[in-house]
Amino acid sequence: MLIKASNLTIAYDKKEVVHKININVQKGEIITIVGPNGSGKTTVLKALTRIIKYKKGEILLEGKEIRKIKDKKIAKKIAILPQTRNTPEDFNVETLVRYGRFPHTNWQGKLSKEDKDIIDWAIKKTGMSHFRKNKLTELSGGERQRAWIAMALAQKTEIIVLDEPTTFLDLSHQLEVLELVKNLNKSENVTILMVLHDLNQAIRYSTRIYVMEKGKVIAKGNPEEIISSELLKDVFRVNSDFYEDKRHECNHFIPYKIEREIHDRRNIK
Amino acid sequence: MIEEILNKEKKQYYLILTILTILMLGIILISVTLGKADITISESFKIIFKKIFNKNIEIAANKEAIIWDIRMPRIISGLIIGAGLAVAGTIFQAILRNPLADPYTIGVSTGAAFGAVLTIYINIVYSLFLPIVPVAFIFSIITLFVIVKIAGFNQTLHSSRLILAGIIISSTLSAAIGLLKSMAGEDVSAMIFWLMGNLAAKSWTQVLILFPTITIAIILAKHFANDLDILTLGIHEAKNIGVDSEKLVKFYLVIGAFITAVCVSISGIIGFVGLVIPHLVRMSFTSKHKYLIPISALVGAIVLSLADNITRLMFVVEIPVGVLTTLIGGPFFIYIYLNKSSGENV
Repeated sequence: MLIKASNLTIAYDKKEVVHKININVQKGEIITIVGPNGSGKTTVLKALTRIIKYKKGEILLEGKEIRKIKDKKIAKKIAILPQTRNTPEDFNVETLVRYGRFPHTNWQGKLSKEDKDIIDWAIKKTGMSHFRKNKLTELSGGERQRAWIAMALAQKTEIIVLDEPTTFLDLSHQLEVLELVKNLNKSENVTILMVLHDLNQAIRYSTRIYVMEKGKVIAKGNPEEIISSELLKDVFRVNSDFYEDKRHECNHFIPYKIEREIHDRRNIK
Repeated sequence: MIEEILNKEKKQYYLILTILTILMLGIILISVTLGKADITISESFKIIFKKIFNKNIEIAANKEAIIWDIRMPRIISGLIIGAGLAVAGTIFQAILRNPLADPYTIGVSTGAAFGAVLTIYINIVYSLFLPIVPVAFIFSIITLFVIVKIAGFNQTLHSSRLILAGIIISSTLSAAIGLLKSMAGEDVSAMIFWLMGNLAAKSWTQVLILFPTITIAIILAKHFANDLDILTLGIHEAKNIGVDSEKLVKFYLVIGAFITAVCVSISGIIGFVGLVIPHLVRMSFTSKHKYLIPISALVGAIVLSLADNITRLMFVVEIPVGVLTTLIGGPFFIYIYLNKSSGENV
């Protein structure tokens, strides 16, 4: 077991937002956490990546409590692509990617031949070779996202955590990022843990899905079995029709109507 | 390809460092010969030669005192304080991730000012001769503790919280300074003179305090400079790639505040060196902190000692150097601010 979170309870100040959840990540999986806005998905990722402290329960990374591991050691195991980030003005792509090697270098930050090869590989893998010398501020949203993914790749970790990697991107860039993620999983055996908003993408790309609602995991497992019209009605308040995506041999759904009852209740409010 | 660029930058760095060092030594030698007292250049150099190499040369004792005990310590204090303020400014701009931050942003300097003004007040009222420097230093350190306490030391130190805490404490202390000033009546001029920041009447004692403390602080600051670069990504992003950003911010906060406290306690509030110099170096050379820190230190030293020469020599009545640096620095600050907000694409 790569990551094992058990009885995880997270609170912002006094307000509990995640209640006693269990999440396991095994080597080679693509795990996606889905759920409506405010269900606690991102909060869980933030706890996993130690940006916020959790109140109760534990998170184990290869059997070791994550809070007791040094930052640098964790950064060798897990690379993180946060949802929002500031863009340092005078950084070019290469500088950013080079920082991905930080956990592997000593305090002087000297790069070895191997480090440089990995940087080149990460830039090539993400298709950023043409933009090597470009400043981050000059890039489009999709290119910038790829630059950050290249930095995560340069960390050469077993796990990559992505928080809504497709948000703010147009269709082709969304596909590009997800295909890249899938490719990394297949060819480099990188374990993926991510949060996605698009459920159809989640079904298509994940090996397992966790569905969260109001701070609890209410369903987990194989995407085909989990995502059903009942679940969509219960959790996302939509009625939908399911179709078969023959090309990818998975389900695909189209929501057609918002659940009346909920809709009415909201109107009364 | 990376290698080439890095090497080129490194060579440039050493070149600039050498030029600036020579320039600085030149300024020391020239400044020491300049002044209102009637001492020739050759006499000045003879005195320096005599003192440094412990030679026996006939020189008038009063001239020797002017060169060696008045001008020299003043020039050296100016260099060290300029260097210290520039480095503290670089540090605060990095850890607060705010280009408008300077050594005075988090209010440590106002703490020192309050301590100094309080001492002057007590000295006037009770006719005592309490030393200003240690009290100013103690008050600035107390201020640091209070600010960090408000910002929450055990949590992640967010820059906005630190800046806000700094502003609150600063304005409270400024009001207290105003109160003391109004209570001082006719003797207020001593306080005002201190507050305006100046390098006059520095002795070797002050150099002995300044030199080791500021040098060690700058060396420490340079030592972890690579991590400061990564911090520009953001506090969480830096943590994600293995920088213990919380610890790093605290470490640099203490170093920056310490440098500021020492400088301000000794020279009063000399404005804008700490704001402008780091920007100048960043814009014209590099934003890598391992280069930025030493070069800012040298440029800060040179600029402040030049400014001090101007105030010392150009005016009939000597004006405090803090007034001059702020007069020049103010418009520069506006320039940076305007450029910054138009170039931002967030």
